[in-house]
Amino acid sequence: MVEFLLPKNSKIIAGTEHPAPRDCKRPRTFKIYRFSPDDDKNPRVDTYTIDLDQCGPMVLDALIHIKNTIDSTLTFRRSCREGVCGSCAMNIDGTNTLACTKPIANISGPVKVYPLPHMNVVKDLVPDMTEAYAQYAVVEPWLKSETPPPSDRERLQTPQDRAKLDGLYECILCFCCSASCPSYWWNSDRYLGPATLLQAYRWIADSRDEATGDRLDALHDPFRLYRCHTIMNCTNTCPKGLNPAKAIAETKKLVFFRQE
Amino acid sequence: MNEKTKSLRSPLGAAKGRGSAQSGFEHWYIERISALILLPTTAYVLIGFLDNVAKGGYSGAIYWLQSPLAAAFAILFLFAGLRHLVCGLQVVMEDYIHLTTARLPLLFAVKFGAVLLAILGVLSIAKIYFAV
Repeated sequence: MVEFLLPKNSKIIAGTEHPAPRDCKRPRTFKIYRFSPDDDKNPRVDTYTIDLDQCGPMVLDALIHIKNTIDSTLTFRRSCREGVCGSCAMNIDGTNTLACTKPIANISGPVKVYPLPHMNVVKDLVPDMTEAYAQYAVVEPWLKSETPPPSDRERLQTPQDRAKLDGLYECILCFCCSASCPSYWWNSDRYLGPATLLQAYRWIADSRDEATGDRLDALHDPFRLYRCHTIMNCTNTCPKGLNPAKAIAETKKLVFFRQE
Repeated sequence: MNEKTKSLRSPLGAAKGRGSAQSGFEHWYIERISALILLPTTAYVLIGFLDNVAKGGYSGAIYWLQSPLAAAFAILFLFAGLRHLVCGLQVVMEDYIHLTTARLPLLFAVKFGAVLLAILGVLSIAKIYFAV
């Protein structure tokens, strides 16, 4: 059966409180999930109160500030700090999003920061993406064409055909959507999840690709594709404003129209 | 995945699994078509049945089911409803029951029950329709 409750060793316990600095002008409290693989302790939620005057406006700025000045053991992924690398995907204020593009000012009350839900945690806010990346590899996300490219130029595409990739190519593979999908939570071993299915459709929709049929064959499976029950959490949560649910619906439509 | 179930298989091997089953479309399609059929048939059967019960009680309902259109709609409602029920329960089971040895007998029981109900329903409607 599906596990609705956390296993015993994953139950969250109370953590350490780090009070506000003495000369704090604009205090703000952050409650951050902590887990270390190096001891046998349960995960905990540490509380940090920081001075917003001392750090930038985004949640990532606050995390970096905490790591630099209060607790250097706090672990998280980050790279570009402008929403194009997808490294700092985490669950902030109950929603999966990118810490670097989430303004602290948009959150009321203490800022709760957890790793992406229902993924194995490597440490603190770092989830194990191995399974998700392997599923991405399954859809063979590259252009497949038997026709050789023109010798003197790139493969051409009409502006109309190029426009069909808008809303698809922008995906940065942060997996906020997949980690927000209950269907993916329950069946991540067989369901590919919205991020990977959006990427699969990005190649299905590409006019230069000649493997559309093979791609649809690979997806035509009760678990790989049809575990999507249009819950729409993916579209709700996407920090890039994309619509994975629509990409999945378009894929289902193509499977429909090739048999009807 | 906990430590006990961790295998040494490569992540890509696990993700590819046994490949695509080349099915799933039909289930998805039937779920939607049966829902579409249920829209008018549920309205027709509910309104017709309640209206005639209100007018003539038990004999009103019997009289109503003896009209060919009502009997046809009632059978269609029964088939579409049960098919839709099986589809929906199958999805719920596939979502939440991961142990195949638990899911398959349960799914078989649901399908068996649905077929039994369909036969019983048709026989009952036929009995009233032919007034035997």
